[in-house]
Amino acid sequence: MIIFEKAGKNFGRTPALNNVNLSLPEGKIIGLFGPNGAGKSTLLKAAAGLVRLSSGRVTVDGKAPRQRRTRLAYLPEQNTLPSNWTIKRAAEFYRAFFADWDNKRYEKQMEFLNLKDDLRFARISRGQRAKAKLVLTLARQARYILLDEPFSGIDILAREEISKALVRDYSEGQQTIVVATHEIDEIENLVEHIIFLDNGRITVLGDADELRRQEGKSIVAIMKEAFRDGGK
Amino acid sequence: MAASKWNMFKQLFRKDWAQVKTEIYFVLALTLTINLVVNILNIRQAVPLFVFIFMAPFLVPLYSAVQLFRREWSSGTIYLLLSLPLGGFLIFLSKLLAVLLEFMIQITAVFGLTNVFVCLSGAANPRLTFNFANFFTGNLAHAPEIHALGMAALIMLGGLALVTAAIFFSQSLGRLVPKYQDLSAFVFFLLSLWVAIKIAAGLGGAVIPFSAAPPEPALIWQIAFFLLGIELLITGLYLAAAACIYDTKLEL
Repeated sequence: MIIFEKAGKNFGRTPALNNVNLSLPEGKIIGLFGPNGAGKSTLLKAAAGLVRLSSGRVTVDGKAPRQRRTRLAYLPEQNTLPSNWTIKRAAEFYRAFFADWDNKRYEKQMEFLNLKDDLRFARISRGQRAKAKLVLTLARQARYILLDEPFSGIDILAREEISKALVRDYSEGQQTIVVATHEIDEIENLVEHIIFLDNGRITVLGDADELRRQEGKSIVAIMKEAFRDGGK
Repeated sequence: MAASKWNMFKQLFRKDWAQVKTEIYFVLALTLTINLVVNILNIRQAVPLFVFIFMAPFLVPLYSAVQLFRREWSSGTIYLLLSLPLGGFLIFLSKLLAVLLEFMIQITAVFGLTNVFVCLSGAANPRLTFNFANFFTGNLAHAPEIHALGMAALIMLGGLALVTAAIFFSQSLGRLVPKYQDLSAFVFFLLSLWVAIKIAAGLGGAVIPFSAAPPEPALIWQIAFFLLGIELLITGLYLAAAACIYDTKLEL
């Protein structure tokens, strides 16, 4: 389980996370929502061990995230693969590092998303690059999959494909997928658990169905209300 | 299937090697062009340009070392590196090996190609080229230039390893500074070189016998290996320090 205890992170004088206490439920698809600058990416990066907290701590199955890198698959928003690589080269790279790499899953996802593995990252469209990055992340049978803005800058058709790819090989109950995004409507129907973040604080947290039932509204409407009220 | 450290290292090295290839092609192209101009087209006014190609195998790998680490941040591949289940030591070792291999290829190519061109032009110039006659006659055992070249090559290789490790260490340290990271890295680099020189001078001065008489070849090699040992020791220390910063302090 990924647990944040009094987690705080400041970039200079700007707080990105503010005393966050959170346990991410296991085996679920979790939506991490919030406006730009809410602290979503920082929270995910902290869980992946890519940023160090200024205060508090984060643990993945009881240890520091950097000691659990084999259990974590992290998809950043940025382009993180050398531009001269082909998708095939990137897959070869990942395969060497992660024992949980599943080649069949990789091939199926490539086919599903209509990607060719000789495509070079420097020469593919933004949508194709996003899909390729997602395939490389999901080809691992990692226990925790952390996706940071997987729909950023992508057209509506590619978004749909990505959403479908996300749940296609998802091992329910065994894998935890955290999707940080402000494009809530894209994955509203996929997520089982919801975290709303604003100004580095958790403002809404809970089971997606329960929240819908309690509030009698869609997740998008609940979120809009939460941010209008400033999390009160 | 468990991922082996060796396979991981091979992949990292392939990634780093692909980045230094451009610099190797650049030096090879420069060497060929200047040699063609001077030795084949016989434009003697271009002879001073040899300074550039003789300096290139020493300076270009250092540029590569700086870029190897900087590019990880500028291209975003640092995200990839930091999420790998691998410690910083292997990551820096892979970069170091890429730089050393680049140096060996460049220095062999520059001096080898220049010799070939000088031989082709039929105007061997001892000022521009080493005397490789002993290689062809097989008279290596007593050739003083072979001992000198061998010793120089070993010490240069060790020196390059040391400077490269100092670059990685200072760049890692520079990343911890919130502002003026490149300037800070440069200052740290100068400081780390100063420390390395002090250590080398201290250890070397205590052990190497200095005398007016020219040393025997066997002693030359002993001194060379001793100096190489000191260089490798400091290289190891800087690499370990860089890896320690990478593993415990670096973040995005």
